[in-house]
Amino acid sequence: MTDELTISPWSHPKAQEWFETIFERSGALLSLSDEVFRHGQEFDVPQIRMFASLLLILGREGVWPVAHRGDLTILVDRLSELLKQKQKGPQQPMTVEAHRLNGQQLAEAEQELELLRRSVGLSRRINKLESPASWRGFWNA
Amino acid sequence: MSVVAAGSVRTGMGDNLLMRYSPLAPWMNEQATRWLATSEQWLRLLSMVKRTLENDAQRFPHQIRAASAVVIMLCREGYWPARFHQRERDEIVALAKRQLTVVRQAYAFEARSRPELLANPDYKAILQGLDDELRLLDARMADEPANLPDRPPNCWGKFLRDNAR
Repeated sequence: MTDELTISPWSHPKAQEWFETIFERSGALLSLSDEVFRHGQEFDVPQIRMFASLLLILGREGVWPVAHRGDLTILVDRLSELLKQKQKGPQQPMTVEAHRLNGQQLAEAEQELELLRRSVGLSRRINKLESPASWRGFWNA
Repeated sequence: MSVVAAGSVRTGMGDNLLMRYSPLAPWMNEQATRWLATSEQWLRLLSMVKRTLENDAQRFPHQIRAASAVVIMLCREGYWPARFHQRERDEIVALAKRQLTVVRQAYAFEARSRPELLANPDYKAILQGLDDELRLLDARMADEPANLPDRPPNCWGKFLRDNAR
């Protein structure tokens, strides 16, 4: 057991039970999965990133319900696939500025998805990966 | 309102406001966060977090700490739908801070009555973690970004795990 699991806010069994209860009773996880699977094809890169960011925040041991751990892996796989399609797919003509922004969005998304793939075991890479630049200020802002 | 540079926003009045996050942050895209604003289930989850925080912190310290962690992570523009105005978000952060302070006091009280607890590194780390969590909640209510290290409390572990050796 890591330190995180002994002393973090989601380490205590009562806290884990609470997370499980709010996810189950609210239906939020089911709804999130449903959105990604039913409407994922229509997502643009910022939407893929928004769902990936939620999984980065909530998809951790102790927070994400054990019974739905498999769903987390499937969701990460699905978002990775959607991103791959965006990277390969035909692009609309863009202004130079839009092209630059799209490139930044894709680079951030790739980093976020790689972190997710590592967290669920879909990637076995172990090289150091910095936190995505756009997350700067997440804690102290 | 137009984005002039990462970190600042030009308003219609011609002044620059300090932006708390990069405009590229995944929770800063209005279109992308539309699902959060319209999903009944997401709103239900957030209201369950708030209701948990209204409980007796002495009786439910672990649940209060867990709910406060959700507030630290998600009670911000984007993840917490726009229909909750800044004032309401501040109220939820203030509630989390009040309740977590009670939890912190209970832990400290326990340590005073059983000094051997302070020899336990985990117990000390939890006390330190609670202090860090309270500081983050404080910072969330400030008008200016706080001068804190941009990282989660130590006891939260590496938040974005890269599995690097």
